[in-house]
Amino acid sequence: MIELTINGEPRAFDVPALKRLLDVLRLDAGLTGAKEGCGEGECGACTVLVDGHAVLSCLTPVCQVAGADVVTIEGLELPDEKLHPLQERFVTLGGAQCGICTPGMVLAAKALLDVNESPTREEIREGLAGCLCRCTGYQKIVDAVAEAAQELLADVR
Amino acid sequence: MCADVPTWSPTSLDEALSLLAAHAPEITVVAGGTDLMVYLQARVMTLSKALNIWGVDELRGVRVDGDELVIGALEPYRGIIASRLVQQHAPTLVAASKTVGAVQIQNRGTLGGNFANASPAADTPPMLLAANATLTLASTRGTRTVESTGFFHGYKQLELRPDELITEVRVPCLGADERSWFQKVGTRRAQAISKVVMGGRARYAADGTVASVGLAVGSVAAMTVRLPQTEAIITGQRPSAELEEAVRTSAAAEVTPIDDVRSTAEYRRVVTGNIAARFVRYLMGNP
Repeated sequence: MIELTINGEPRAFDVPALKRLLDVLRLDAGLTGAKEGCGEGECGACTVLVDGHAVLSCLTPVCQVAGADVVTIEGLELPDEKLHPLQERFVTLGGAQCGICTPGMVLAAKALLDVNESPTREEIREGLAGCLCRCTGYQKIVDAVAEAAQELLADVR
Repeated sequence: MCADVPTWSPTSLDEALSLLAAHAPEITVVAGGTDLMVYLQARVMTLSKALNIWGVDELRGVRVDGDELVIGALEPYRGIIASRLVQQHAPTLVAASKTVGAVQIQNRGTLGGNFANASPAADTPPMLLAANATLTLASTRGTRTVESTGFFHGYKQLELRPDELITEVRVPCLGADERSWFQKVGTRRAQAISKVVMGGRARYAADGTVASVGLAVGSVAAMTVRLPQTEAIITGQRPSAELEEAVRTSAAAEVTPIDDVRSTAEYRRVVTGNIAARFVRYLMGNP
């Protein structure tokens, strides 16, 4: 039995030790926010946060997150079904097109903003470089992250 | 979807080595999994037993021991990039680590894994071989130190016995009389597997000539290789435009690249010469 915390809730799964975290999330936990794009660590669509760090859930065996705190896109929503400012800006500024890359993009951005509250556009690009958008809407994605960063900063102050 | 492979998850090095000794050679070590999980998913590899070492925290950390920088084999690239000690004593290791995948891979990939997986395209071995880094290998029989330059015997042929674990990488601290350099050529800036990746380290004599030099390159042979003929051309010389051209010719001739999905042998040969020449130009600008 592998025990971990997903989006703040303690969970336990009786699954093979080397099962991909991505499959445990989607098939066992019923959380389909993390997407499978390439399945080989190239596209970033399966990005989730493990103890606050962005990782590829398709390359992470579930035994290596035993006891860890996992956050998926479903866990980013605020109380009262309110979207996180990052999600809000992806919507209003057109940062989401087909949507497959969006959960990974948003979580990679979250990990970046958690350690760098006011990143430059170049730093945003570097932080999101592991996520591919095949609609190629990168400008609007960077706009959304930059805008959300400012809002979050204003909230704090 | 996923075979239920017997998996052990030790939390101490002693425990890990005992398990390795008991189950070698059938057991496979799993560190960050960034290569291994790809092989499993693609079914190009099957495991019969797995040793998950991710919880062995004593294999993490960065410290200085005398004139050596000591990096735990399980330290992820994120920690290496953020380490002031690495930034100060082995800046090209930071540069190389930043080119490994992107943030998500840097959070999981490890130096020990980069050596044990032994991809000829691995990003960190070139600068470590150039710097004459050593690897510490441990087993229940004891500990031994091997030169990184002697670690790769051939394609995925390693100086690593089945019951041994890489525990640390030791890099000689960059001296005031030394210069180090790193360059990776890939298709894009993030997440690219290298077409050519090179590391160099040179020590100057008091008269401005190069007293000794290490130059190593990846993606151009069955394993990461040093370029001894090119190093011999540089040694004893003062970096100059003439030396730059001699090195360009020598380095291109010294490698044995192949055509594959990422590039052609001819391209890799030309690029190897060009970036080796760039190393000499770097030395000219940084006497």
